[in-house]
Amino acid sequence: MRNKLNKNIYRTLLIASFLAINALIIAGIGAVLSYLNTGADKASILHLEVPTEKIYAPKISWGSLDNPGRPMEDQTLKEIERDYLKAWHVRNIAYLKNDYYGLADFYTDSARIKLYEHIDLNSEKNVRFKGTTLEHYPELDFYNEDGTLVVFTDKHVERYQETYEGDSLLFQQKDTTSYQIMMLLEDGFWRIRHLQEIEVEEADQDVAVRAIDSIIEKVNSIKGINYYPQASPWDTFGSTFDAEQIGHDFDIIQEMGLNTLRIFIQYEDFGKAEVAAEKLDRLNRLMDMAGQREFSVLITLFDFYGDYDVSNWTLTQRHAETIVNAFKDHPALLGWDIKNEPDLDFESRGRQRVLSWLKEMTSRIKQWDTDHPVTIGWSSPESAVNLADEVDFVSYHYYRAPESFLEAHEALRTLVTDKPLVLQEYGYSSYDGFWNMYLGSEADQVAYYQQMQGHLTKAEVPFMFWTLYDFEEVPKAVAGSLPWRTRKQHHFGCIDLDGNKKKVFAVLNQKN
Amino acid sequence: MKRTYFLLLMVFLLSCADKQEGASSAANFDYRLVTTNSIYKADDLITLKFEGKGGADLKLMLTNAFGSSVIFSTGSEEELQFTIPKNFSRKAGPCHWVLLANGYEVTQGSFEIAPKTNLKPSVETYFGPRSITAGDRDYSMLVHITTDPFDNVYPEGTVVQFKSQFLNSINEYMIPSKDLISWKNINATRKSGRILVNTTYQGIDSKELTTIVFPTLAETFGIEADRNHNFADGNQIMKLRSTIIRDVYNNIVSDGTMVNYIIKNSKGAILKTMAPTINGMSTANILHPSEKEDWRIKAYVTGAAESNELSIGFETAIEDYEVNFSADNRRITVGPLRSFMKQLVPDGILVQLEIYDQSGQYLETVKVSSIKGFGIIDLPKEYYPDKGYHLVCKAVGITKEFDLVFDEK
Repeated sequence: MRNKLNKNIYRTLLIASFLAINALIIAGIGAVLSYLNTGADKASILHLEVPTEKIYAPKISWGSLDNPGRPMEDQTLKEIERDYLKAWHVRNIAYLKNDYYGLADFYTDSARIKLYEHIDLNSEKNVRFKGTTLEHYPELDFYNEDGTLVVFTDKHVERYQETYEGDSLLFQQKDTTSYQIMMLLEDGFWRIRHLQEIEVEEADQDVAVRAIDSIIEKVNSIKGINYYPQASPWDTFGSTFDAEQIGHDFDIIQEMGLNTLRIFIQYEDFGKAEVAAEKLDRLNRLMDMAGQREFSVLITLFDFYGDYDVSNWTLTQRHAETIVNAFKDHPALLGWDIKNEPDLDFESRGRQRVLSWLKEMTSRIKQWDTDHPVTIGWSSPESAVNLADEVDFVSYHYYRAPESFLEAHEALRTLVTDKPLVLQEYGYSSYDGFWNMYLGSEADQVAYYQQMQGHLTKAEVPFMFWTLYDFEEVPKAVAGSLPWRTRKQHHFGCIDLDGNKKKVFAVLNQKN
Repeated sequence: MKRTYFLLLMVFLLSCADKQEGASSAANFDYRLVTTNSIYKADDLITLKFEGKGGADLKLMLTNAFGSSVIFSTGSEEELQFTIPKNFSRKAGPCHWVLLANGYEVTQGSFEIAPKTNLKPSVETYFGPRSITAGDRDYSMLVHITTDPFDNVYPEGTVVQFKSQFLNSINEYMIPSKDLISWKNINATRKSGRILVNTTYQGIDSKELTTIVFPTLAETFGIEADRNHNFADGNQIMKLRSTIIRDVYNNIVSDGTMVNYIIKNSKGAILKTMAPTINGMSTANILHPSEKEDWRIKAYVTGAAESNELSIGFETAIEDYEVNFSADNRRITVGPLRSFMKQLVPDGILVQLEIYDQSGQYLETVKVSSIKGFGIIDLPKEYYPDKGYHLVCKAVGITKEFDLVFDEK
């Protein structure tokens, strides 16, 4: 008996060890094969050009190309421009990190020495500079006959620079400087040989006359809605863009007696600095449909953008510039909402950094579009005082108890006396489920809106409520992934998931 | 001084509270610059002094074209003293400063640094293109930059001497600088050769730079033919020679200029040979034809020039030949081929036989080269079964026709 047991144990051990050894051998062979398969992709031997994303895009516009030397060729001009901007870019990075990296590619031997000296001094003093140039207006002075030397004057270079001592911000500065630059073509790179600051007479800057009074009038009578399609919330212009459905939604909004829409442009979705034509086309179709129904559209830019870093100021500016220029003449446009709830980024990004970016962007958009107002969608009435001097009307969001709304609104009114205040987002979720202990209901939503609408009518506050539909899906980026937060987000609409009008629909219907 | 330089200090009152707790505002600091000099030479010792009150912990931010830095006071609270570091004091141009107290601007200003022109300057020259063509249109460009020992460009209007030499003539020009540089176009000469240039500023000479003036486009030229005899023997080589080819200024064209000799024969076909020039002359070769010909020859330098037209005739070298058939008719022997002195022709005369069937339907052409005076053609049974054929034999421009029957029963 014992013997038999022992025999079975041995047998089991033998079979188990056989299996284990086999498994190890197979795993070993697999590891060797997968090791041999790693390495460069075969296509890399073709040295195909790697598509690069735009990393530095200040506005640059060449003035006169007349020069006593050789006539400038378009292609060469592009190469000079590319390398000149890269020279600024690597210099910005070098001063940020106090590192020589990359300078040798865009500055000649004698010029880079001067940069190195600055970097050495700055790392000794433990100061860093975070800077960017925003605008360049170069004019060609000279281009030599064999195409290897160029002198030009870069007029009114607008620069923004933050000085850090260690990690703390010491000083912020914006200046306009003109330079005369000599660049040499050396082994395929245009490199800066001389960079001199020069005096240039101030350009007659046409101070753009802004004509926004008539639209500001309109702002005072906004009865609006924050709009996302039901099938693709937070992704209006994605691959599921359905013009017919949007038209249908707009009919409902019209039926409700509303006159204004707020829509959102996602920064990355629209292609960052190089805005995709397809997206502009979709936006244009939406704007046209809104125009047909005589809606005004408030376009919120930079949704899901949250960096604000000086290093991508130029990229965000090109993004906004493209969109603003494309739609500034659209009759349905109400104005530009630069950013949705930027104050929520104060903590993670630094208040100063966010505000600097917003301020700069506000002034840019005012330049590009002189006929439409600019606003920022602050997340609370309290934070709406930020940059109140810069915006044309003040927008804020309010999701707290209706009882204290008027108080908060009046408090803001005492701080901002001369500009319209718009309640740009407010609403109440009818969510009734496990995560709020089954305490919500459509009736609560109705009660909320009845109270709020009462306040709004009484205080004559322009409003845009959140939102038309209940949503099946809410992206994580909106409310995170915690169910007690995100579940609520699904039920702010006045039409439910099955397309039925909720009770609140009648309350919000302005024609009643 | 007309210049744009505005500073925006962005102060957000509440925002700074958490970052810079206890910071006193700039209003508590009251300093003014006491240094009166605002114009310096590069590498001067520059010290900025401020008088006032507020605290010793003030910083001076400096900015020039190449970048910014922050330096600290070495003086007392009442008299702040900042020594400008060399990387700022050596760079000509404006240098801007901002006096900072706890991140606030107290006061700001700038001073000007001029290039250090009383030390030995350095010169840089750029010359190009390094090859140009003779005549009145082309030129090279000589660019000169004068810098001081700290690599600052000399001020506008610095007059530089430019010199250029060609053969016996040396020219000098005085050129004032503008937009950082002085420059001069060095025009091509009508004669080909080398132009040497250099520049001089205050006894500092640049190195010698060269551009080569190449001859310009060729002009009309002549050609001649040179041959051993005028028989069309398909064997001798005829030389075609050009005269010395020159450009409009009488310069011999560059070596290697390709000359194309285009020959039109009496059937209208075009033959071609070519040769590059050496010392202006080109010599090309071409084989004699193997039958009587009249050639018209013209040479071209493509896109530039052409020659006279030569007419060259070739006499028949082979008057006639025999064609013999073997017993079974399947081996055809053409020859002997005898040339103008009754000598057997050198190997390689083309003999071709066109084969038709009885009804005149074309079947094939067989080509052979003559060997030791004979061209031999076999018509094997496998390809040409027994029946009647019509043959056309062509060689040295003479055509002979036969009808024959293969019959081996």
